Amino acid sequence: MTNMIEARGLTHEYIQRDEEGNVQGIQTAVDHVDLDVKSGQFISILGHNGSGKSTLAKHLNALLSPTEGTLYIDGIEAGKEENILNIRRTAGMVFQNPDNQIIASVVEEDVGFGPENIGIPTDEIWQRVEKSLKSVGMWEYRKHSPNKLSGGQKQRVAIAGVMAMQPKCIVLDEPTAMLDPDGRKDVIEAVHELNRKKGVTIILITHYMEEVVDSDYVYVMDKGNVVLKGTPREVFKQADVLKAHRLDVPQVTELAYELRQAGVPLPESILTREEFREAMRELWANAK
Amino acid sequence: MSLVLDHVSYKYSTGTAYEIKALDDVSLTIEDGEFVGIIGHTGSGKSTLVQHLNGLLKATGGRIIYNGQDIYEKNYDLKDLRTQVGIVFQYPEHQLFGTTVYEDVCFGPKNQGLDDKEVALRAFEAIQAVGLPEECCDSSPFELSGGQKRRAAIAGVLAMKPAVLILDEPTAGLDPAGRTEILNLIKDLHEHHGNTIILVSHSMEDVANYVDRIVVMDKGKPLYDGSPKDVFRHYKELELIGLAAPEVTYLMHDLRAAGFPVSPDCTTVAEAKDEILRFLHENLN
Repeated sequence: MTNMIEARGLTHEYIQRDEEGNVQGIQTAVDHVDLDVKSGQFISILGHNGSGKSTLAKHLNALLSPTEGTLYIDGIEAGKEENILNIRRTAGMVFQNPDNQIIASVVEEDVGFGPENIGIPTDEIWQRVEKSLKSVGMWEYRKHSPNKLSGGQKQRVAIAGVMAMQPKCIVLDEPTAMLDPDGRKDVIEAVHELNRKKGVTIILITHYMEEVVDSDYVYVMDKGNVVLKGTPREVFKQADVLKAHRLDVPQVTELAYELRQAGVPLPESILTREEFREAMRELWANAK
Repeated sequence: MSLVLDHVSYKYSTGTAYEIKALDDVSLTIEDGEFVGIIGHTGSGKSTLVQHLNGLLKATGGRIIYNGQDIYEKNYDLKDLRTQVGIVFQYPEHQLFGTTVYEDVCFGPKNQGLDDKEVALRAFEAIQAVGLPEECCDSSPFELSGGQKRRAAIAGVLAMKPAVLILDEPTAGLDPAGRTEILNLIKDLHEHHGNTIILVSHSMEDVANYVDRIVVMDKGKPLYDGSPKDVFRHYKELELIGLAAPEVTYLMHDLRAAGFPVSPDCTTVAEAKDEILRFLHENLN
């Protein structure tokens, strides 16, 4: 497997200037971050509000350039003017609010907007629109008006719009923050499906711990640094560390942790309901 | 002292082909001092419902009675109603506009026609109640963090001293610690200041942890109305309308299906912990 994303000492500073252009303050939003994402991986990034995760994400499709350090997206060096378009074609981005990302009045036209802009022939545009909409389960809504869709459906249309550009990598910045439980589930399932079936590399930024459980690898950020990284199991084992960084663990993990504290011999880092049930079965069998 | 909805209906675009019944014959009583959660999928009528409670939308049918008075009566003072029933909208920090936090929080009480001294007093009280440090008073609201901005916006509503506080998704977009802080603040207002609280939320875990009563909205009508335990007992029906039960409730059902006779009526981590401990103590010794 090749590296889709490789960052070394990636740093970004926001510089505040007064009216005369004198530097008033420097805020280091991303502070010497190393990142290695292999092609086809599903990566999650956790961090509280203001921890620097969105600033980091904006580097991955060249919305921001590094102040210091190096960043390669699929072997293309970020921070160079001539590489910007190539990077944006390689890594697509989905944002929090679906209403800010949809522009056309019909679903299929919205999805076709991206490929049309880069001069793809009409026949191929329609093929791409069909494939993308089918991949997120929105094909039957192709003739609908986006503003009549639910939040989760709109967000899936936005993802289809990114898919139509055939990116190797998709970065999603809190895509479920504004959705109801059903919409949240549909969007996360659609993203996993793209990862599994199309091999798209996924970077998911989220505040919902439950959405992280099925990732290959998790980075936890605070004050612009990566403060914890590992598989979900390794990361969620450290409930206290996560809470100190204003985060949490999934409810099932929390319950297992509380029971362990009360003396029940459950294994560390239970992540799912299935694991919890099996652990209870084992505990029961051993006790009998 | 109560808020009564008596057969309230609301239709958008009446008389056109696009007529939509956003509220369909809703009857509901919210008693003084209650902590009520309203859940429902996008488009179920929750936001339309709360906008009726302080007269921002006028029902196309039915009556709303606040403290024994019909708010649609000719001489009813709607401006007064709006100071007694305060709404904190979704992403309320988008509505901050003052040059300082203090000035922003003063805006409400100033509009109520209070004298300067009372306005200042209320602003400081509200800023204190939401847990913002006093230094924040003179900062621009835009210099605050996301969680602090939201607190400042809530303070702006609290400064009007509403008896009923309605919050529409007050934790959307906040990190887990920020969510807990805002919810604890709301709980504190309920317990120590006696406010009636109506919390609109998409998080089943949050409503299970905090509220005493849940109203489930579907297609413009209340589908269920009861304690978290009673409501989440209908988890299968809730799934059909795009909702769910808290994760621990599912876990308890899983354990039951696997042959452990635990009560599935747990809606919070603490309840599930107690129930599993009870079960283990009774059966393993």
